[in-house]
Amino acid sequence: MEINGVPIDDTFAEAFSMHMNRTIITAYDEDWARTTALETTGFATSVIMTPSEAGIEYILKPDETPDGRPGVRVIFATGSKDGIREQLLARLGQCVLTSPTACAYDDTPDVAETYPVGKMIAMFGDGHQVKKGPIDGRTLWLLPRMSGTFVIQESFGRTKGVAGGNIIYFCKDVESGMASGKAGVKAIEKVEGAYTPFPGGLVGSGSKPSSRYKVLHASTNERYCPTMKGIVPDTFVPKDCDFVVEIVINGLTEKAVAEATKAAILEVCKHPGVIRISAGNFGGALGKYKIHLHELGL
Amino acid sequence: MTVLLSLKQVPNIPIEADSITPTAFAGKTLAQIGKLVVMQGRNSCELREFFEITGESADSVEETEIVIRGDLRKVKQIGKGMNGGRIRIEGDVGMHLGAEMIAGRITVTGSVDAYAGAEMSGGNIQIEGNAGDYLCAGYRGSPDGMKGGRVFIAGNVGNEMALHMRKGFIAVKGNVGAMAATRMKGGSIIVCGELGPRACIEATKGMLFALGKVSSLPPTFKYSGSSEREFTGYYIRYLKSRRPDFLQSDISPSEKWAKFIGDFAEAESKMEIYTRLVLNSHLAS
Repeated sequence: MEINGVPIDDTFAEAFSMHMNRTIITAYDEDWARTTALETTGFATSVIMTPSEAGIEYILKPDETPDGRPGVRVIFATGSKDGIREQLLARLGQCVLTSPTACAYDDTPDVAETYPVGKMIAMFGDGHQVKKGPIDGRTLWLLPRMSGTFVIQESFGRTKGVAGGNIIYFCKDVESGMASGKAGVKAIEKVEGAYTPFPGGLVGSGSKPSSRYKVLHASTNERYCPTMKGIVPDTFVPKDCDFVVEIVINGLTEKAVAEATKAAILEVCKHPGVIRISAGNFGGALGKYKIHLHELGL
Repeated sequence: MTVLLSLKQVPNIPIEADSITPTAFAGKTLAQIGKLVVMQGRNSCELREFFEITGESADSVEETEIVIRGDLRKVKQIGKGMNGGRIRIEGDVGMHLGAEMIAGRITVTGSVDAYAGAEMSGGNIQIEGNAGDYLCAGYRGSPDGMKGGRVFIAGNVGNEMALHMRKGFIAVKGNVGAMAATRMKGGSIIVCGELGPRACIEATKGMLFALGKVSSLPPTFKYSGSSEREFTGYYIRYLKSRRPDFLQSDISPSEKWAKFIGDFAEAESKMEIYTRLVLNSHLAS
């Protein structure tokens, strides 16, 4: 299979089940909503060593948000159920409450369990917090702060999502890799239900789930390292490739991850210098989901 | 399934028809419905004496819809304490409509008399005309007025609306009379028209959004700044989604709202009144 002359490997991405929450962050303008969302989803690339995998899922127009202001939808993912509650408490409390004009509303579909995170954060109001509703399906807490009033939904939900969808692709050089990668991530932002947790959506250090050092769970995957192609006999890196990009895609459903994978491939293949597209897996032994590149309807 | 009640003639003495509820009608034949009790003064009467009863009854409350036609201004307590189902009134109707309502939906194409939705705790009332005094109020001696539910009035409302209100939501498209939200202690109210004098006297908690002109507020309310408000858009959007006809024009999220807090004559003073600064700059000081 080829797209715009770029070969697509007949392989699959192996993805896993994670606990997830989707939250809407609104603010007085779109730029500030995005700034707040980026802060709130910071330090959340991979559960290998961050407490969550988080990212921006979708940019909302003012008429699509609960309070009629510009908004950004973000998703948080954790390995444990309780991790969601802890992460929401820390991130919404420290990154949304502290961001002038920003407010937070739960928007998790198919909720399995809810946590009274908003009620707890509202205690920052020190007795001045006010509970309102339910109105329009939500119970809200309003608390005074320096920029006005912080509005947060009382409860935030948890659902099961899909993490670890990916494409790994080989490029001629840094320029072609970064330009195509950034464009691929932009394309994923237009797919509802999916997000990219890594810096700017791009992974610069794809890993294997083992290490020669006992203290590490993961280490660099030398088979994808262009600088090692001369000495790694089973390298995946083609001869003319000096830059390898991975885009890790998480989402609320397998379908959303597959759609985002398709959008990224179609976008990446438009760019010159992209040599071949593949995906990372563990032979299918570990993950619950297999996203086959040739079954995406490309 | 719809049961249709047509008033035979306007009664000379008002009747109290609290048996007209989907709960009372569900699972009964039309003949059985006709034998439900209504009071006229001290006399116990049957519903069929006043109404032609046609249509088809349903087994469950949720499937039951009651449509009532005629000049019902002397018919009181329709839907009192109703707990599910639907009532549709085509025309004007008398006092205590939907009083103590728990759940369900009442729609009225005309106007309602006093005490509509009094002490209701749930459900939804939509009135296309005007509402009289004491809309959603508490009765004399009651500590609580409205305790939940949603009420939308497309016309004007009389005096002492939402007296003792504790929870719930009221939206009024038109003007509201004097002493609205007296002793309010929770819930939310949106008044799109003009808010009458002495609103929120002795109120201790709750929110009132005045989208129109407010001539004056009680002196025991303090001005607490003018700014964009993060949550006003939430309430406006909710109102717009339910009744887009209530808003004459769009209200921008950047609209400035003057906040007043009180009543400082009370031990607790957490009642918040928000008025649009552009229409009410005379209050902001």
